[in-house]
Amino acid sequence: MTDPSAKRFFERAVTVHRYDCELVAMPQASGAEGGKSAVDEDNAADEATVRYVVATRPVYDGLRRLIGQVAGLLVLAQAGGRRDVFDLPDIPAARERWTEIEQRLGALRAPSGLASHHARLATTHATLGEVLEDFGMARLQRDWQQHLDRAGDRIKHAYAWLQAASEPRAGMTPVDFNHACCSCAQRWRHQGGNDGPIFDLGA
Amino acid sequence: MGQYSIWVLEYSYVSNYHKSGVLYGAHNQGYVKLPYCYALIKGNGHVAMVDVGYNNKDYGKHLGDKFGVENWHSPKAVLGEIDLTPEDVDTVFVTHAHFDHFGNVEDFPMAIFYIQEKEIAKWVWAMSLPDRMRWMNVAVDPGDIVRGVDLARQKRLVTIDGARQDVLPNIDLNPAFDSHTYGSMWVTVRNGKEDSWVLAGDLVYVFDNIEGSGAAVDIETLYVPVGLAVGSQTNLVLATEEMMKQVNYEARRVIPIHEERLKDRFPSRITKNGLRISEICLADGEKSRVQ
Repeated sequence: MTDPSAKRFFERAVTVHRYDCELVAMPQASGAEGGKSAVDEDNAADEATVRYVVATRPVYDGLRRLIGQVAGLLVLAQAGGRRDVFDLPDIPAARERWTEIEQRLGALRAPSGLASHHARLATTHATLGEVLEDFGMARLQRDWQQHLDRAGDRIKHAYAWLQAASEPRAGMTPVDFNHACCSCAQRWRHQGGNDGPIFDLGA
Repeated sequence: MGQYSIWVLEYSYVSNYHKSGVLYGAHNQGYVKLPYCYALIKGNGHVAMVDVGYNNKDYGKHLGDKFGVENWHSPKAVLGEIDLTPEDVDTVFVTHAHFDHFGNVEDFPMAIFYIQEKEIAKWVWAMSLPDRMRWMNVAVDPGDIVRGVDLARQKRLVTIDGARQDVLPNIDLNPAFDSHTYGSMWVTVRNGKEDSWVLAGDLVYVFDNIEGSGAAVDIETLYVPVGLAVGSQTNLVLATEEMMKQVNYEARRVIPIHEERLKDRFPSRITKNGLRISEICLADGEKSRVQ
């Protein structure tokens, strides 16, 4: 993406606005950004990329958090030897999120160059579905340990696929560092800030 | 002198961290250096760590580029400075599940890890909340929890519920629920009568969290909570009081691992990698690693 106007659009999409901001999807009025339209027709492919990235972030984030949920439940079951974990309301909640992500994933339109990225997300999602099936089996069957072990293997695979789909420049990282024990001020300085807000709510 | 030696080992740092991050309400008061450290306890035939740092393989570049985290070195290099290896570590107390405390479990292949069950359970809950509430699961890496699954399968992860005494001889774990994180805890090393040390995790970042200025209310000092809490500042202040009670209100015995000024209170040295080692106490017969 070398064209300046496309670059501006990309940055507006991934750093200025939240992923769910409707303004990203709206056409920019002529002259809204330095007297040029954000993307011209020649950059349609870049615009498709940006739209894909914007639409993908909530999918990525949903998968990230679903992995955290499911892995946490596995830790509680394994380390605590607690079969009652499978009766917690967190499990239907996880299934519900899984279904929501499936719908969003199905609605994504990946540009040709990003088909493999979409496939990685889809594989993450499918693998998580298998883990949730393992949970169901562990709840019902006497020999629950083998299902837990299988779920443990699969959650590692799911996380590996998510890592393969990570893209820090597009706000897709496994950890949300925005308010973490590291320097927001440093980031603000790197961005050339002297005044104004430190927190970049769009990133 | 006592049963255990304790060192605080710096493994990375941020040169300019906004002060309001470490001290509640300290807005527009500039920046401080924020060392990233873990603590090492050695004695009674054990080598124990309090936290294990973060996983540089996955995040080092990102943290460096975006947040100015500098000079990360591996546990092998850091522990080598006190003549130990990661394989020597048999016990790890995870004070909380943030990536810079729980992120590097793979480098300690022989250790048993202890963490509060509530820390995991409430992160599971927080991860399930809608996007608009995602602030509540900040700084937790799902990958760390995934690695926790592996530890649990290997029977190397112990989840505990509340306080536990003598996890190792004369070493206690104390919960501070709903404070810095949902299931934070601190570690108390009872070296002898009136010779206890508290390793505070992130319940105390710097000395000022314990000895903040009380000028505004006409007292000498007061507790000022850390800048980040998913629980409450009240619970942080109450936990600080409990920690102080355990050390007979001798503030220097509560060890904040993000405090650059540890060097002003304890013997220390800078290693060839530019990282500090602070020697908190030495067991009988143990040689100094900073002199």
